[in-house]
Amino acid sequence: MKISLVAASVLFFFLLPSVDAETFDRSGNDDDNGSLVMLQGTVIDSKTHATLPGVAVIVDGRSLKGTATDFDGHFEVGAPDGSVIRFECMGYKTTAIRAEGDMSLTVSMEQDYFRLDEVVVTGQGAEISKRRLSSNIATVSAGDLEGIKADRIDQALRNSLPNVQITLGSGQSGTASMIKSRGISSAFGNSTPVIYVDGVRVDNLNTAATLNNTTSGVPIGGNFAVSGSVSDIPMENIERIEYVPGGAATTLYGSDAANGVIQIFTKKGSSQKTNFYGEVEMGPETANGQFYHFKRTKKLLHKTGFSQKYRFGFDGGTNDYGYSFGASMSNSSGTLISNNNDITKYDLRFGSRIRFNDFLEYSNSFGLVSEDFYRTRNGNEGYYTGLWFTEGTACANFSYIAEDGKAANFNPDVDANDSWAYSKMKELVSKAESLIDNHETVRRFQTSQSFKFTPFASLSMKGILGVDYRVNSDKIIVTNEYLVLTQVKPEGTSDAGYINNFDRKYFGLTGELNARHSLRKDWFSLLSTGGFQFFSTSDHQSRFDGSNVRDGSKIISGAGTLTSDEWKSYVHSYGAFLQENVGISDRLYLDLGLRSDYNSAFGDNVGWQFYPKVGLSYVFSDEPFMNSLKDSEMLTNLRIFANYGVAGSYPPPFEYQKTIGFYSYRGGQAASFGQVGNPDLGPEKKHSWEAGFNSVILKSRLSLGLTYYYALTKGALFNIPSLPSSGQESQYLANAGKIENKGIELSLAAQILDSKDWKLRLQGSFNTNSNNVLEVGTAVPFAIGGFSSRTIQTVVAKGESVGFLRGYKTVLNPDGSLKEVLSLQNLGNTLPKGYGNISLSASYKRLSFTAGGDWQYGGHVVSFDRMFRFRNGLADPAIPAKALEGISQSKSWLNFTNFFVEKSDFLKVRNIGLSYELRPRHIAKSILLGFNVNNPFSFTSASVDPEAVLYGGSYQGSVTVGGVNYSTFSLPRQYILSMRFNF
Amino acid sequence: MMKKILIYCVSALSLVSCSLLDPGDVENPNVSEEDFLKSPKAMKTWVNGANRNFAIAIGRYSELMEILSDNYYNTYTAGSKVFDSPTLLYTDSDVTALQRYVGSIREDAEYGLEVVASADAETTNAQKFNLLYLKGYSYLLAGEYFVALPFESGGEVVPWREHLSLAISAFGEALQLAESVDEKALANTLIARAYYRLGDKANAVKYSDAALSSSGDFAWMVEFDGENGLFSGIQEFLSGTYGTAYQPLPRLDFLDPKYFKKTFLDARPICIAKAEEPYLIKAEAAIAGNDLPEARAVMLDLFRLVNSRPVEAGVNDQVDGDFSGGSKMYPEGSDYLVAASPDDTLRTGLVLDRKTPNLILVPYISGTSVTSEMISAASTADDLLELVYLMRQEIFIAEGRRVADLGIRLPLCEVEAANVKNGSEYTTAQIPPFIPLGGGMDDFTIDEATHTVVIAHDMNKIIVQNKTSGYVVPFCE
Repeated sequence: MKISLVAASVLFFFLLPSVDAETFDRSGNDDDNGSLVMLQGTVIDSKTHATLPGVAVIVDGRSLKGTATDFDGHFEVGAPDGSVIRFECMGYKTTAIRAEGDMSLTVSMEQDYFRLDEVVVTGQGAEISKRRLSSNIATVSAGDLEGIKADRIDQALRNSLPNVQITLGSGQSGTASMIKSRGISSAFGNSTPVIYVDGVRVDNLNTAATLNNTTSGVPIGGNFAVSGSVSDIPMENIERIEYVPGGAATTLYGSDAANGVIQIFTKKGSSQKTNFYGEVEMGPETANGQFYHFKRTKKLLHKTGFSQKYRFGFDGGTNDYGYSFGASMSNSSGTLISNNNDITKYDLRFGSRIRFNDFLEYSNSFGLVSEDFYRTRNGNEGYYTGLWFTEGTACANFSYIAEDGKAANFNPDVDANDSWAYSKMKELVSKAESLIDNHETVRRFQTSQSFKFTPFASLSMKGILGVDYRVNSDKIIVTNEYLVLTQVKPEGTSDAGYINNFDRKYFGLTGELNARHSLRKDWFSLLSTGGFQFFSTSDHQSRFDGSNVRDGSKIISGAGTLTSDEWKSYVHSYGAFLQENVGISDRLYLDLGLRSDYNSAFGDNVGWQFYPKVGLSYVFSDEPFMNSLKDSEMLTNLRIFANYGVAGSYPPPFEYQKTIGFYSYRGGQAASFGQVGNPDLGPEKKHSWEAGFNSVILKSRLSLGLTYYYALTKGALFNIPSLPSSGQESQYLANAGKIENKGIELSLAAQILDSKDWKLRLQGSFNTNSNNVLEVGTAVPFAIGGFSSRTIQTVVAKGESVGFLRGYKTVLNPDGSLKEVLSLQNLGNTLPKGYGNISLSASYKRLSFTAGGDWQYGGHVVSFDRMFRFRNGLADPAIPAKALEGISQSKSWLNFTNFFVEKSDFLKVRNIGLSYELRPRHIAKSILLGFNVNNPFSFTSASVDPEAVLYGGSYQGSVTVGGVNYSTFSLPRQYILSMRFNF
Repeated sequence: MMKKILIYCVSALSLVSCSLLDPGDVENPNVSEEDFLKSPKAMKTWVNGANRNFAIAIGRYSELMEILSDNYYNTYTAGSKVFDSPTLLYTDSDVTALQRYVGSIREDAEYGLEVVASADAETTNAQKFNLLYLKGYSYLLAGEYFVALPFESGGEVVPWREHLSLAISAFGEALQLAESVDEKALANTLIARAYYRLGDKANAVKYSDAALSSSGDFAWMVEFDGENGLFSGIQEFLSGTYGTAYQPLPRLDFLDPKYFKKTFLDARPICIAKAEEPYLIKAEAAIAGNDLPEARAVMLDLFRLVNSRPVEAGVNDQVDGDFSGGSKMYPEGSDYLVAASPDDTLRTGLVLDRKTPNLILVPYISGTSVTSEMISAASTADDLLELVYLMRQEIFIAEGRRVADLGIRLPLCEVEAANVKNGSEYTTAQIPPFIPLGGGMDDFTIDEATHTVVIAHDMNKIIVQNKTSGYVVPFCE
């Protein structure tokens, strides 16, 4: 493999564009011979006249030559006389001036509400203006994130990315989420994008792990809320986040990016004296009881929790070096009794940069997270599982001593139990929850080390090396006392207690070298980017369990039986890319790219893979004949674009191998057939076409963007069931399918008010998706979630959308009587047909108000708890009494599954925030007082929370679609008072 | 110019040095087929693996076939609920899994006999016997439980009778290699069982006699391994992970749990063949031949054998926790009287006192409620036949055998049906019309005041009433 590495390196070397000292950057020549002049001044907002800190002041288009404004917006920089100085700041239009002798000036910058020309990195290997790109890239600034009081990256991005849908599978700590855009392009792999932090690929597992732990000891099955790695990516000190959808825009990531890419960039300090900040956030949190059928559920299981968070940081530096530090510690007791969702987190990040000379710059970042949290039983864990006990009426399975001294079972209608029974129920629930002990810890370290070499203004080279190391432990202690209490074991049992331990160690290494050459000749410009990327991941998991454990023991030492298991996975990926971005007259751009990569997860018959892309971007509004329209400010910007590109997803490691499996049996080794294997196993490839436009109209008050996309996943990975008569493992992986996604993405942003004192902005998005499985090879319809075919499953079948709900359907006569019962019917698609988000921000002077939410329509969800209520004898309004004549609900409940499938349409307000900035200069530079409410309102078609649908996945990294609501907690409401000091 | 040279040098060095950052080759945690065949004691390891897979299969068959029959009801939501009904869909993943076991037992055996044996010079006859009887058993499972299955991977689907013929031939080959009396008794009994199901009275009796002449009290068990966490599927529902989720038909209460758990690691074996079976076959053959005295004599011999079988004392199997996951009340005291159907009389002694802190006695090879008086008093062939079927039910309880006596057969599963030539002809299960649906086989009424239980349907009586239907009682023409 090392040979391949060297070969690729050599290839890259020759791909480097030749350096031509005669070439010129757009902003000036490369000659430093002019006499040096000093410029100083202040940068202000053109409307509010507020000073702007952190504005990059760039000399000659070379970021290594320059500085940034300090907290008061002041700058001082030396530059060759006659050179061009650019002032860049996220959220503002770039402003340029020419140095003409020593100058003292005030630079006024105009806000750029729609950021169509800002510089991005993701998907390109190096910085590039959005106008040159043939697709849309969404960016989120630190300021955008600051207003959202979120503890995890997916939660923070939920309303910030207009074309991405992010839902958290449950209200439990550390829960896995679902992140998707443009539908689901795989019926095998998870839709979570790859995530980079400062150019380093990080663990993005968003399902349960292979050797996971559940409180019931049942292996991974997709019907539990589990924790994922996305939830604990360090959150402090983030400067900017970029997102690109999978397709042409991610072609340069090759076999790794069919789902898109999230790039997180962290702060590396400023060119000003040190600024400190400190922040306190705290407030109560309450359970969302709106979806509970029984009034008593919330009383039985929940309490009012309390959250607190303390943040501290500083940044500063000079022109030659910078440093930035951010840290926080937080605790939330959660809304479950016995603090069963308690989470404590320490989050720290440090970043710095140093400029050795005009050519060479080094930067780094270090992130550290330590997180401890608890989870309670949920989903299909059975026996005593709080929500199943109440909402699923499993309380009817539990006996208690009634007032008359006789044994009785609880009434399944929880609210109908008399006060004696209810007191006994509360006693049981309180005790059971207090005995549940499922403790998970995460320790995570990330670092990125980067060198940037800029020998000429026209050439820059960058090398990045970094790691992500994540250790996750989960310990579940089930005591005899718990098993007796929950009536699993008889009184007096002392040998049934058990402790399960799960450890997962993830190590990811990323190395990248890229070079960017820019060439400009009059009307022609060319940006050439070439690079080589390597990443490896190692995932090592172990289980070590003790059974027959004495109560009180917290470790397995001394257990009656010790069992253990181990799992390992490695991936190495090598890729080289080359991209040419041709500009004509600074308004027509042709974007060409090619990535070739090899991945150790490919089968023996699969070699290097090639991913091409071609795209066009045309800034129509920059045509001279549009000047009159631009002058009238009716149309400020109009860009049209189109592209075609391929991106891939590599298969799981070693899945291609035919193996022999080993077990221990009766004192000896036992061998049997292992994996079936598939030497032709390769990546699934998403071929994507898109076309659209971005525009800014009506005096820069309105931005409108529309994209049509069509994506066809070829060679989609399917778990093909082997023939049972073959006697082999039940399934093997093959590139057998074709999956189609198509739809539009519409984004709208309106700056309704924009005056010195008043600002009002409204933005929203509308995205559609039509998902269809076109080919399945020799596979029969197969389940990717749910339970047995007799109950309810999410299924993949030809001609249907991925993960539609399949179950029994009862058809009624017009008079409500039962006509027929049909098996294995399509009861509705789980994937929404449309989704989007909406946000409002308003401010008057220093008082700001924000609100954001998201919505979806056109999907379905089944309420399994409601089905259990029906099974246990409760009447359901959807089923007429006539249909039940002569029928036992407990025996025929599954025949009526179609009545429990509901529309999953929702509109959820995720965050409401109010803040006021004080500037008591003698105490602090500024004090920001804030009040935020997370998850305040949910409006849903369904009687259940369509979002609380358990994204545990059927196997590690599996596709998830949700669709089944089953004993799952909704996200809590959090009320957060905050106070931030800037010194 | 110097700049250019510097750039090229720095670039080249930094790129070449990257090889030091390569974290090493990808470590493969798996063992390939080639490596395995070259390793020492491959056959010993393979046979052990085949036996392990066989044990898992037998455990799962017992787990699912018991609730498919009238023997057990699943009070819990874990495990199959639909088999209990019985509802047998060709799309049911449990049907697929059961069919896959047939294929994997056969493929394990054939791979061992053909590939591993030729790679391992130390292969013994005992190992070959072991694999041959597993191969025969895979055909036996196909012939007893399915409507039709392929003989080989992806092969044409063949009706069940032909699988039994192949079973006989494989067991015959095994018999040639049998060395111990138990091995001979095993092979003969399994051949007798296959002939019995085919309705071949003469051969069934012939091999039954041969089995008994080898050993009059053998019991061949498949073993599990508690130390390695391997418990049979059915034990998990009788006394394991799912507590007492499976509850027996009240008339069979005294036989439950056959697979008890006295210690945490107690993984109880399952008997796949025992001397009782040749007696039962001979008794049924005698009844079919209308030789009732001979039938009574065989049944009395059988009665003596059953009563000589061991009984485990001190088993803690309280019913107190039965309601966790279920909502059905089961009798829990020895004073309960049970009627096999509304037309039957109430019998005593069928229900054990399981209330805390009582411990119970359980026979774990075989037991019966049939007495020598009942055998002697049975005057007609049908009375005797009903007793034979009751004894079959009691003796084989929790071994997954009852569904074959009820005439129920599983369909060909969906994956196979979609991918083999004539698969679609066999996607419907065989559930005889006399089988009560909707959980009827498990139904009973319980009167907690009078401590009486009346079972809705006496399936042994129903079997005898339908003996000429072609679904049941193979010797009845």
